[in-house]
Amino acid sequence: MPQRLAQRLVSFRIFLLLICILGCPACRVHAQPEADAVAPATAADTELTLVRAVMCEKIQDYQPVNPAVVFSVSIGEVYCFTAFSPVPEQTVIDYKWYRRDDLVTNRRVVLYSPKWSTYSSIHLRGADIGPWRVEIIGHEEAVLEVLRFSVTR
Amino acid sequence: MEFLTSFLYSIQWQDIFDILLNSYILFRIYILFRGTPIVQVLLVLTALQVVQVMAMSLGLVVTSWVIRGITAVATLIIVVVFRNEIRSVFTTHNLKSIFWGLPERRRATPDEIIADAVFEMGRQRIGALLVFPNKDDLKEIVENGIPWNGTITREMLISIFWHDNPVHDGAAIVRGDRISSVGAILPLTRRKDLPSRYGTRHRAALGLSEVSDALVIVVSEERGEVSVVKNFAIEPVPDRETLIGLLQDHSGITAKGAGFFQREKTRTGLAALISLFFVFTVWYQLTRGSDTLISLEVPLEFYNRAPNMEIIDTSVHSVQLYLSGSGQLIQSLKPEQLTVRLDLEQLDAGENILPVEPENITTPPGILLRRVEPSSVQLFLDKIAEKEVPVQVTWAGELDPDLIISEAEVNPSKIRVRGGRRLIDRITTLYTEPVDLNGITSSDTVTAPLQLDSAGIKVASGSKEKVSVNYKVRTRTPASAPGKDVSPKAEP
Repeated sequence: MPQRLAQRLVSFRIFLLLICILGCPACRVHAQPEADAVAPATAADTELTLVRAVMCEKIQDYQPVNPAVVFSVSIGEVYCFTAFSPVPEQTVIDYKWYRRDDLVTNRRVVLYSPKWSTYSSIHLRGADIGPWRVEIIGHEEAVLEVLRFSVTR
Repeated sequence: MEFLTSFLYSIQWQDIFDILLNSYILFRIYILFRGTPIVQVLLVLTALQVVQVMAMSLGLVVTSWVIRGITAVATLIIVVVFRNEIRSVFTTHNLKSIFWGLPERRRATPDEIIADAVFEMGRQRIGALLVFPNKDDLKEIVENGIPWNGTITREMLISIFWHDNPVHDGAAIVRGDRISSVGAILPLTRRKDLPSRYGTRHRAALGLSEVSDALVIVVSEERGEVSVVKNFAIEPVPDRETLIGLLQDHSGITAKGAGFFQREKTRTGLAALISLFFVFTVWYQLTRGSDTLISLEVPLEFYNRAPNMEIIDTSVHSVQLYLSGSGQLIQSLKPEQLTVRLDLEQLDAGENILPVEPENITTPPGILLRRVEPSSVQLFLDKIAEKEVPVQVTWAGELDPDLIISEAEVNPSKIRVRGGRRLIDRITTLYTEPVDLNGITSSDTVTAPLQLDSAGIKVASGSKEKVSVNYKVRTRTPASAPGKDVSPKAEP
């Protein structure tokens, strides 16, 4: 019985955390530690490594749904999903969202060791139609990845 | 003085060439047609033109209108009425003599023709008596002359003294280049000491020389001998050249030649000056007579740009020119006749301000520049640089809601572009022209041209201006399950 209570408490905390993150109105950043965590550190593991970066229609079960390069404005929201492994130490990354070549927003998120998946998203409006890109910027402005996509009718 | 300076400053080389060319054409027309009635008619037409302008300025509308009509019709009439004269000018002159040189004026007495005819008659044993009056009046001395007034030709002289011609026994009086009368009776000499070989013709010739200063040529019918009688003496003439010399001496060409040619030169020079003055007056009337103002927008042209420099931007792309000139010239003015060219040779990268000076502006002859707006141009130059830029597909239209485009591979993924350094530094992505999503049902490859937003950016030589886009289409999955590939359908 206390075990079930503890599980419920953990679930409730995660729920509260999600509520807090989803509360950001224009651009939301979500983070989730990887389930299969710790591995022994090697020389290769000393650098922050981006293992996956995709644009998608939504995030479900901490996984990107319908990764694509074209998004209709009618879906209402578009996500930039990233997965890092390893994350040698706690650090921050930036998601810079550009519509054509104009910087629309810059979101900063914290990555936690040893592995971390996270995402950033924006709401879509009619005026957002056009080519977009998201630059994922690491330590000392290093561009880790550039994801390109279009928002259409 | 100021007017003269400004006038001389405004004259361009085209104006000078225009005036000289048309003056020369007018001068050549005079040279070719002088002595014919066409010149007189042209003078009358010119006078009419002057009267028409005066009538117009005085407000005599009907008079001006009538004169204009007359001159318009007269131009046509001249061509019809004087077609023979015009034709003879163009058929008797070769191309060189039409455009260059002064045709020799026919001399007062065509001595060569006369000499040829006289010796021909001598050969054919045709007796002849030709009188060349000098200063003395022969009217009271010579009797019964029949007026002839014909131009001298070899054939005509021979026919006058032909045996069967009723007037062949009389004398022919030659004045200038014409035979004024034939069949004239000359007074016979009373001398008794003449050799018997001289007949009546010689006696008549000697008789005239005794009472006048005329020269007489006698052709003996019996011997064919040619003699010249003057000042009481009969001199046989051995050949044609001697006769020509004697005729020229008599007419005073040798003595008066210098004066004659001097007069000819003076007359020709005067005609050239009048032509120049006339054309200058017409040119002045056309180009400076009355001022009409106009403003035209003319695009800027830049030249002498350094090979490693690029024009990034200009404050204006064209300037407004305020021009003046005669109404006719302004009406016929076309924008392409105006150029505004700015020299970029001394300019550095960055912002430059170039004044638009009159020497940068080309106007047609007769058009004067009054003002330029703006009077200077701001110009941004930059050094040329190249850079490889990633290409991004611009998707447009509506994709089937059940489908998603999961991937799009662009080939080549980067394109080298060239342009001003500042522009090149700013550019981070090259976008394609919109690729239409309507109708896409399966994975495929399309070609998309690049969209170069800035005029200062170009695709570097050797790089492609189009890219191929290889895209993959998948069915939309409502949940996290991976979608199913939609392969291209095979053509039936």
